[in-house]
Amino acid sequence: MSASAEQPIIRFERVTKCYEDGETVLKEVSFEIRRGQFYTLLGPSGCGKTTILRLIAGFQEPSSGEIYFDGKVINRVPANERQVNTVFQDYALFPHLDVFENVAFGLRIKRMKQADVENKVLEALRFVNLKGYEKRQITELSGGQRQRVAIARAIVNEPQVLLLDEPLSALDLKLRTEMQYELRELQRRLGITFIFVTHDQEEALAMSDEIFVMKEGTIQQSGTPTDIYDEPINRFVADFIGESNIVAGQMVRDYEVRFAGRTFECVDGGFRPDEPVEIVIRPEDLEITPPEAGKLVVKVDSQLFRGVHYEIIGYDDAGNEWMVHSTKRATVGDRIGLGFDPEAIHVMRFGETEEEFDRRLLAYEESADER
Amino acid sequence: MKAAKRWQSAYLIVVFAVLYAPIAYMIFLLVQQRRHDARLRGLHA
Amino acid sequence: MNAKRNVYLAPYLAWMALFIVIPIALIVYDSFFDIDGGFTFGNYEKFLTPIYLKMTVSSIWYAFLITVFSLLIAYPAAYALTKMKHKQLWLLLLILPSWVNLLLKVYAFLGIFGTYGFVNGALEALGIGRQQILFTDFSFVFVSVYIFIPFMILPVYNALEDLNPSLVFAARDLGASGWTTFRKVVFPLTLDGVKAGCQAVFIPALSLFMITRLVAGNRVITLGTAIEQHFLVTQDWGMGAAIAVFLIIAMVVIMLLTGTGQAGRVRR
Repeated sequence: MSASAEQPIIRFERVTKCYEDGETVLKEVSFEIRRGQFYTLLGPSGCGKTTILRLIAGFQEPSSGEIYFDGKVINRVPANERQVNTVFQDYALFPHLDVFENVAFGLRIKRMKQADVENKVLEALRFVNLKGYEKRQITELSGGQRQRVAIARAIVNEPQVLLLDEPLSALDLKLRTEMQYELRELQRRLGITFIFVTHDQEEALAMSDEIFVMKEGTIQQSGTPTDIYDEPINRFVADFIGESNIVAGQMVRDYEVRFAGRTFECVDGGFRPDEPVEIVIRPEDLEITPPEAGKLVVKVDSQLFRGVHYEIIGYDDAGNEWMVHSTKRATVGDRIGLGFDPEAIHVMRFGETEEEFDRRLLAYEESADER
Repeated sequence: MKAAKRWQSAYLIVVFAVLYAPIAYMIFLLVQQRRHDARLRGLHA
Repeated sequence: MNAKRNVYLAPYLAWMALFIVIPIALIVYDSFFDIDGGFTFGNYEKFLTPIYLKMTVSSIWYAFLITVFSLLIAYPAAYALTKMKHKQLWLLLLILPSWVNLLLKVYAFLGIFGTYGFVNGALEALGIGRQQILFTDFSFVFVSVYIFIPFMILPVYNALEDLNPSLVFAARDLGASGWTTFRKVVFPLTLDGVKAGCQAVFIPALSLFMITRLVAGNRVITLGTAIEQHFLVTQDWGMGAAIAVFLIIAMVVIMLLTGTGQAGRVRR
């Protein structure tokens, strides 16, 4: 690959966005977006994820910092001169035009020849499985079909980056799952960068090459879905991505952590001796054992049948709440043992940034290699 | 963006100024008439 | 059920009959009598003579001019209104002047445009010198537009408010400049409001008579002035009624023409 192909397609450098009323929605955010990948901006509403999308699309200008597209600053380039297209949350299809003219909109603006317009529009519609719908009115389409028209209308312009602003949130559950597969497949076939905004962590985990977890205008953590799921950097990320048990603990020394009144072997290191920490264990990593064989003993408080598994909630003697996902059932009021592997324990340092986390990870992994 | 907003405000202010001009003029005449009446009354007194 | 509904409808129907159907019927009835009370079609024959046809054409022409200028001024104003912070306050300010009596406002313009009025004073101070403003086409159209502008702004404003703002973002996103976005998305989608506004201006503008009289000084004679003259001055009620019947028919035709587009339009 040539150097220019490896250059990120989009780069944010300490980008801040404040509104006139003084509210800061984005705080000195920096990141890189590489070509041909599926990115997801994930976070609760008001975390700034949609603002990032608007800044890339050109609907808003940053208050400070630089946005690079293909190596050039594009802070003040108007939206209509950018090589990105957007699929809007409410699809924003033009109600006075039919399906064909909606998709042809961008091409007509470029004054493309009628024959070329027809070819491209039909190809785009075929791409999203809407062949034969050209003459339909927008009002005659279902939600899923409108979604596809919106995608066709965007990709027909051959953008380098496709922005998707919570495009699945208006669909019902079954259609949403279907569209997740389709979008992922579409991204592979097109080979362009997708930036997908959502507040749904399952969507993010299922589709992305890389996830940016956001909170209050900052990126908390970025990484592959498995990285973020297995190694959340803080309580917010652990809580936001999937269910988790988070309890207070103390790092006795490297590879030894104390919580719930006992000391356990673990795989984390790089802490000060006796440093207070938070530990995360995912509910599916806990298994039910007889009380005498368990590493922890809890009293079962409630149990819910979730289809694939039972969701059991119990309390240990120190008062910590533990959620267990198990195919075995328990009896409410019984005392049960919980077993887990050292690898299942994930230790989080208080107030650690992503860079500090990466540095520590690198440092103790090297020392572990030396041992 | 900001320049467009300023133009919009300026335009609206002109339109509304014209819209209220006759009413303002009527009030102006009314006030003048009152003053005139007061002066006349002053002369008679 | 049906009988019950009819009971509720009764006052409304009575109202309509008393103030709409009967007056119109009376006007139609009157239009078939000459000045001496004899039955005749002469009024309609007279209407087709060049004098009245010229009057009709000039009425339509002025009503057209007033509508076009109202639209040209009102559309940007309505657009700007939708972008303002305190929309409700601005709207109230817009409606407020229409509570002031029409005659009062027109008289105020006589003062403003008069030979020794405000505008001429300003023109003289600028060194341009006094101009004849009153009793010109300009002053007539200006004052008429002034009177009708709120009726044009309101429907256009409502249409613009109904417009989904993400459609504008979508057009920009697909490469459209500001002007193209307006031409291909904003204007077509607010066409219903524009039509409603044009109806609200054009139809009353056809039958203006007070402004014509006071501001245009009988230089401009429209069908409205003719009706007024026949009823109040020449006492030829038959002729006046015939012109009124023509105006009513014209209005119905205009409403049908501008209305048909709405039924077939795709609504969001």
